[in-house]
Amino acid sequence: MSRISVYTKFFLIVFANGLLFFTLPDPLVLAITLYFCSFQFVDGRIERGWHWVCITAVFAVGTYLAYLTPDNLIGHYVLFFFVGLGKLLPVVVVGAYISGTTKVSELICTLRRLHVPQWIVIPLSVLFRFFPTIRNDYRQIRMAMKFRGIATTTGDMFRHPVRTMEFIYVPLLNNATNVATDLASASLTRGLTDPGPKTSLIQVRFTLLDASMCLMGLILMGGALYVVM
Amino acid sequence: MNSLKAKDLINIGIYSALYFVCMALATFLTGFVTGLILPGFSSLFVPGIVALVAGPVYMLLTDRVPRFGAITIMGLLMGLFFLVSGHFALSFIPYVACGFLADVLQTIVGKARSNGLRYLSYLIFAFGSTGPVMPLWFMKNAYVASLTRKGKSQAYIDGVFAHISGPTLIVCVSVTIVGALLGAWTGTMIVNRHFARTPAEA
Repeated sequence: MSRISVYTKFFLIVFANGLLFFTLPDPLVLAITLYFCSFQFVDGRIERGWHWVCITAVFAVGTYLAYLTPDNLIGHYVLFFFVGLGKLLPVVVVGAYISGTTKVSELICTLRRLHVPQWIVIPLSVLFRFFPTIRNDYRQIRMAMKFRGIATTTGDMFRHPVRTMEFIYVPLLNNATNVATDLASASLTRGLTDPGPKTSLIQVRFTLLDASMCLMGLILMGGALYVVM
Repeated sequence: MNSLKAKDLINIGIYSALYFVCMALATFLTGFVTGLILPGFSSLFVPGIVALVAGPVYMLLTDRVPRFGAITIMGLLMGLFFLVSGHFALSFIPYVACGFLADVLQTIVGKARSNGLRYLSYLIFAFGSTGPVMPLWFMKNAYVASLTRKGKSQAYIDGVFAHISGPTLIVCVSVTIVGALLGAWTGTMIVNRHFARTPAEA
């Protein structure tokens, strides 16, 4: 379970996306990106943390060097690559952190706590629950296809795209319909539609660690605002 | 939204998952092909390819949950995904807006019957996935800033982008329209052929 609460992660999303609207001096952007990377370390994902620090460093050096590139097509390509993608880097760092550390149950628990209506929470939890089923179904469908000598190789799949689409879609969608029926009865039995408050094994709290990380973020944000003004 | 029962909500979740897989697949494929040539520009073709691939899922959803809210919620869930996954967060907005519009057309105006309106609603929904194109605008701004810093004049910069902005938008829109219409057509075909609705299914 993540040591940082989902609330702080919401704050990170707002921060990283707000950053897109402004052009800030490179050192400040670098500091903010490293701040985003630091969350990986706080959560004990040391290797991932270094991984993202390295990428940040490559982009920082790349952007610096790209200014020295010659004025031809390749130079422009390199400049666009580093500057353009580098602009999106903070958002990607935050996204990677959040999708890597947030458990579905944490997210659902937080959304329930924020009184998000049932008609969002129920489809959302079903959605996540359904991904493994799709993967499993797909594997079995492919096996069944190969067994009957249809599209035995990946190349064959691309040679007859319409046929492939139909052969994969129809069983997949058919099964989805069946699963929906099963899942509905199962979850109704377990009281999914009960309007009362839900209990949860997972506790989501805004801790001291959250507060200190947010404070650090606010300081950087303040610095950025000061520069913009 | 209150007319949706628990079973409808579960159905919506399942079809959203399938739609999501289609989207991931389309993004991966286009990213793989065009991403190497022009980084970031692959998102121009993504909406069209998504629309092409996800037709059957959408058509089946409108068939199985013919009530107001289904498409809106699906759009909302896709938007939520963009919000938390390292895409530009405002990509959220087109999906929700397009989902709502498509929903109104499909269930209120068309009463979930008319085939033409179903095509049209799918076309509108397809434009929801144009959200990830928006970062290109930010990338462009960053690029312009870097060119200015490199000491280029404004005229030079305008010259660089004169050929890019207009046509790319047209390409993006027309690819999306063609993809959506083809997707709607194949989708309707598959659904009619294999999922003819059995009566009295509540």
